Amino acid sequence: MDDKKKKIAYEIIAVLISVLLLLSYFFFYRSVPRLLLLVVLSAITLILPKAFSAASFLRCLIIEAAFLPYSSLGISLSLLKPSVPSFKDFFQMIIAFSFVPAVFVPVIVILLAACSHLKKEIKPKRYIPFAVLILLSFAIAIFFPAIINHAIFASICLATLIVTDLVEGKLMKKRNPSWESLIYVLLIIKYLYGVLI
Amino acid sequence: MEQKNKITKIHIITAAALLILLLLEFILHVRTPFMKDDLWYATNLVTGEKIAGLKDIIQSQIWHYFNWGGRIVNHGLLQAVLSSGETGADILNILATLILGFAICSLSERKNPVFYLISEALIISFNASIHFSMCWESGSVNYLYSTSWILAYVFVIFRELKEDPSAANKRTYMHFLIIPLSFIAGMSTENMGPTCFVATIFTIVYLFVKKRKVPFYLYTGAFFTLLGSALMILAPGNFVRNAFIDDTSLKDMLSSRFDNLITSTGSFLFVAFLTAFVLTAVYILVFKLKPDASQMGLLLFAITAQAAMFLSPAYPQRASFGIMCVLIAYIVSILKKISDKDSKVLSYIYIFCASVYIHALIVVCTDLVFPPVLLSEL
Repeated sequence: MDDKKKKIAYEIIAVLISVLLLLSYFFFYRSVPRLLLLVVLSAITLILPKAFSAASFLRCLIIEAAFLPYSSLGISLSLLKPSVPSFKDFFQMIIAFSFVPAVFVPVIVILLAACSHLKKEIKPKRYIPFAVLILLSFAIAIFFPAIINHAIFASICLATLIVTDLVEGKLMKKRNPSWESLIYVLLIIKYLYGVLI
Repeated sequence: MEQKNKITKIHIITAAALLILLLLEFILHVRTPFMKDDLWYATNLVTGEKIAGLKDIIQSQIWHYFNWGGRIVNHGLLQAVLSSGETGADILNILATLILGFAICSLSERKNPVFYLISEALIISFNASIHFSMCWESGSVNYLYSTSWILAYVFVIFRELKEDPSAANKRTYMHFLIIPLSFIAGMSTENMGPTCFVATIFTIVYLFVKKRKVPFYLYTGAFFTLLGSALMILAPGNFVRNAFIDDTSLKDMLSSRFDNLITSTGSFLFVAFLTAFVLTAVYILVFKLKPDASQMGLLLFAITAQAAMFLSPAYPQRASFGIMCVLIAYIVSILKKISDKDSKVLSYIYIFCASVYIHALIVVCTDLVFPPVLLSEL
């Protein structure tokens, strides 16, 4: 099978798996707004690396579905009262937030090392605004504890933006799926853990 | 000269970082008293009196084998550790942590302070439950201590995958050392023990396929790991205990086992597997390196041990400890080969080390600030 036909075959498979994943997401969460949010976030994440293909969309969808917590995003304004946390409350915020750097920082570092080896042009300054926004969301959550879930949600979105930019924009550009598919199988298991358990 | 100074500075920083981490871990150990099963194992299981010597331990473990379960090697050692007192046990726990880090580095062929710090930090960072796998004495011996001898056994057999066959002939002592080592590895835990047997068979088959001589002690290792595992799993004590468990339907049993596997892969071991898989993809696709037989052996060992847990009725967080350590050995091995291939990525490895170290500090401090509820206090 020549390269062009292979690429078309991968795109068709990616569309089918994406549809299956979205149907399963709706089946488990029964929420159209949540489903639309997932699709829109996945699509927006691909703008930065300019990766507009079904395979890229599927990979992004899997990452978002696996990591985005299903926490309520609605909030009553009356809960938005600032407060200075005690040391223990502050430490609890750190624990809640530490999931994001614990998972994403090692992965991002490995991806940056890979890009460096391939002599891909990376401008680290490009990611500084994302890192600043993540720290800012954490800082705001310290004084407005009611929005901790929203802060974690926003941080995960920003972290996946960085990962997707590196993967889709640099490493997977013009590449067919290969060994990295194992990572996405693991992420699907993570997604299943989130919906089934 | 400048390079040498730089390396010295890095080693000093690494040593200081390691000391801080170990000090915090030691404080955690000191703040975790003997509790739950520890209090029972601290006594002669037959007479109920405090353990006075080896005779009590042997008597207890004979009773244990026929009435409670097959992990007599682990629980015999547990009784010995408990008899050293709280402080003695705390010091032994820290020594076991140091030995485990060394075992991981030996298995990944990287005896370098930075990679040693990465190993020690990942043992904490990836750990689903440091309290029950490292601090609580019963858990500590079953998981922290036993993983060291499991990895020692794996090191011995996977060494054959790499070396020149004539090197094996020079190690006559292995024909004797392999017997106790393989036996206690086989008798360690219900998933890791049998996986040690599978790993030995993998090594033998690999050497056959590559038309290399199979050292006789590998057959000895296979036999004694199988014997150890069989004796542990088929211990009469396991059946006595199972008699107290209510029967469940096949459907409920399969459903619960499936849930356990999804929970462990999607939660306890997720970050460890994710890091391992991301590194594998980068290793093969970007650095164009092929995992050698021992690296593939480590990854397959972890996956096999994880799959073996489907046969277990329960999968508490602490049971993922051994698999986590094998994955850490694999990760360190991959990082080592990547840094050998391209020395420019060393700075990224230092950043990786710093990030896992900081997370390890947060995890340890979490248990210090919010001690897990001791059931003895409920």
